Amino acid sequence: MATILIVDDEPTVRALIRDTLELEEHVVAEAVDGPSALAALADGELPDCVVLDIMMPGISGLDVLTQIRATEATKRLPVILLTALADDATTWAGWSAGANVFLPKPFDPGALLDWIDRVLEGGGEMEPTL
Amino acid sequence: MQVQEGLYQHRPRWLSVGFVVATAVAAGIGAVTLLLLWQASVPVPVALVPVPPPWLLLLFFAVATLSEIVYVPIRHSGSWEELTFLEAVVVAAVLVLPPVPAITVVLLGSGIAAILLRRDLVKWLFNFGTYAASSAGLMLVYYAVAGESGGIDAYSIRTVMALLLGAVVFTSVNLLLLSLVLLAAEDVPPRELIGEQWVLSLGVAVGSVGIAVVALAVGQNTPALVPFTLMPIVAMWYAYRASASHANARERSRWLVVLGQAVSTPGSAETLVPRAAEALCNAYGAQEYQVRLADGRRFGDEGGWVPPVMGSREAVDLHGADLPAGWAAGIAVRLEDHSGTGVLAIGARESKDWAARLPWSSSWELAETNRAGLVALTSALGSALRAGQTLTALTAETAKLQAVVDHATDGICVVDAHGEVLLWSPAAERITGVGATTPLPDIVQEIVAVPADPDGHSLRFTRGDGQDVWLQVTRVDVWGARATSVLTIRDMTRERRAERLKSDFIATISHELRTPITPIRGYAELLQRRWDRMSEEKRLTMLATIEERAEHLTRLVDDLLMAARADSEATMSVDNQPMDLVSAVADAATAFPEVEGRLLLQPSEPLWVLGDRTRVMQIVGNLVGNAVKYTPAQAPIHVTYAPTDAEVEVRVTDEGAGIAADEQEKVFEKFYRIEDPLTMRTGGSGLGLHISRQLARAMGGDVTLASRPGQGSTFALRLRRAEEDTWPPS
Repeated sequence: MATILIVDDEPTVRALIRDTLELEEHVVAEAVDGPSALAALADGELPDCVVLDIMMPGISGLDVLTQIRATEATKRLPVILLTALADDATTWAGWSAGANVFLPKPFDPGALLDWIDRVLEGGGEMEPTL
Repeated sequence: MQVQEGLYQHRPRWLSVGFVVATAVAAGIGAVTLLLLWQASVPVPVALVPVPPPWLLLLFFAVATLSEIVYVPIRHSGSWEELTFLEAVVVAAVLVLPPVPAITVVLLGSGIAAILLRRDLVKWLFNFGTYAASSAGLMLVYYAVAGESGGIDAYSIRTVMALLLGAVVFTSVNLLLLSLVLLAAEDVPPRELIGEQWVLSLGVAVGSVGIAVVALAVGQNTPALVPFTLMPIVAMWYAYRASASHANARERSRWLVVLGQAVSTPGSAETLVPRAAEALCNAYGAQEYQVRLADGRRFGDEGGWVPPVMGSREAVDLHGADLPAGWAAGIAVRLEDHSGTGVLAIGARESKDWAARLPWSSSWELAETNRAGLVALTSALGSALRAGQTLTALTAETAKLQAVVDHATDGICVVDAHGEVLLWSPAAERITGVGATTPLPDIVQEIVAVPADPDGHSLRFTRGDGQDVWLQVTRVDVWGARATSVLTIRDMTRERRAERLKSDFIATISHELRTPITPIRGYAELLQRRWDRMSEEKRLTMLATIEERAEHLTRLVDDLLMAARADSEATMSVDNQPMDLVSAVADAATAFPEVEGRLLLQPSEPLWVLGDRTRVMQIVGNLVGNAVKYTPAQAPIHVTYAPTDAEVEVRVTDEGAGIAADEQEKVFEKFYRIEDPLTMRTGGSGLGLHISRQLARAMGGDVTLASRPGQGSTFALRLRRAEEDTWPPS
């Protein structure tokens, strides 16, 4: 059981991820955009993993990730990037920003769970996959 | 031939030829009257023949007439002065005859000569007045100075002085009136004429006295020797001829300068030929010209002239049938221009003046040197014509190239080997927003520094009006007499923007399609794998989400298809019927229950418009949906109506961020999104407004936008009014 922060502006996608994770007994926290995600990370206890969407209003997921990596406390926090933009440029930008996993939408909930397990076991080490 | 060169510069405005002639006549009548009064009241010197016999009077009359007929013409600009021997006759008459017969024979003789020479009335009047004034003046001075002591029998110093003074008065009056008439007619400055003529005039005065006095003295003693005393008249005649030839040479130089100026400027035949031919005529004392160019154009007064075939390069005398009608003499030379060999002829008219046909008066002809000059000058005229024709052709050619440069859509720039900008076309200026001014603006420097590359070179810069502009600059080096480079500057901004729109569209559409698919696929898999671990309620929620997302996806695909159709068909198919706009708007508003209370519909009577009700609801739904998306929570959205006689507008006004002026038309472009797709706040395909406008236009209306940044936006759907639909009856 782990604590996972979901960051996505689309309510149905947040609901899907929450349902998927809660069925596996994970504890889920939600943020609807970049600023509230960063605020949550700064305030409370750190989650074990963040599932982060890229295309969001205001600050994009890539910018959020860059800030996460730039902050000492969250530097090694595992981050799974979810995106509907799976072109080469975005993928490369994702890896460059320091994503542990890059998962294109639509995704298989089972695959998401597998990746969460793997990044948790890996102790948060970054692992270029795909 | 009178040639007027520009405006008169020396002549006072009031001085006309008529005025001078009137003055001369008045002076003549005055002087003669004075003479008649004088000789009646004061004793005058005794004449040689106090009671002259008729034969003597006839002799003097004949000599006076003859002295006027054998004149020597001297040219002053376009007018001719005639030098005669009348003065000597007057001196002789005053010595031999009493005053009244003397003045009578002189004036009668000159008058008859003028009639024989068919002088114009004006010229006759002027001559008559001048001779009357000068002759009477001579006599008055002579009688006054000589007194009673004078007379042919007792020559004294006083008598001779009296005669000389009288002659000087004769000459002075003549010269004064002549200078006045030339000033009035030809604008010849009096100072110039008097300066040239006074020595000659004085010589003539003294000579006339000498001849007359000596001839009479000799005649009294030895009449047989009188003819020998007249020999000085021959000398005087030659002096006149020399003076005339001097004046002619001066006139010729003046007209050759005019000709030189004419042929040194290339021009059309219409401007060049008349000027040059007229100057040639004046330079060579001819009166008429005829020009035939090889292309058939003709210049000169006589239209019917058929020129002879000009085989020779020399000047050819015209005789008989080759002479233009009315010409007495003429000479023709070849005139070559680009169209071939033509002919230029100059010559003199047949004279009405019978004196011109006397054996000693030569008709118009050219000396050998002048003939060579005429050939050379005509050749120069040909060169000027050819230069003019070349220039015309060149100008036409240049105009074509200029039109290409001026109207090409791409900018054109030509630089020399030193990087100096030789040409910067209007399109180049329009695209870059700058001219090739000194110092060269940065962007021009950047453009001219672009290396030669067949694929061109991309440049991006911010224009003066704040627009980001993409340029494609292609340089071609031209190695000719002078190394230059031609650069074409193409504005690629539109293409770049289209590319960006396309990639934004792919990002947007990818996001818009994948986002609803994500829960559909995710929940479907989750339901399959974990069906038994979920509550019934959870399953139903998931299935409802799948259904709702699938519907959303369907709508999106419909929009895409409609946009594609809008592009491929000229007009979208709409079913225009009279419909009530107010009720359609109310129905469309029910699709937004979440903003109930914020969405303020203006109450209105039914407004009948021509439209497709379903499409109208779609458009209003889109406009209200946009307003909801872009308006801060709680801010009201107003829907109002603005009916006119012909149309009705429904306006949706929000209190959102507003849209910048340069974006206001772009929002109607397909797939256009104001926001960056990565961070855009709102969903949407970028098709809504595009489709709305296409639909509205298909219904005969339009969708327009009025907005100011920071003050919200108003989107208006305008539709044509329709008669109220009375069927079915309510």
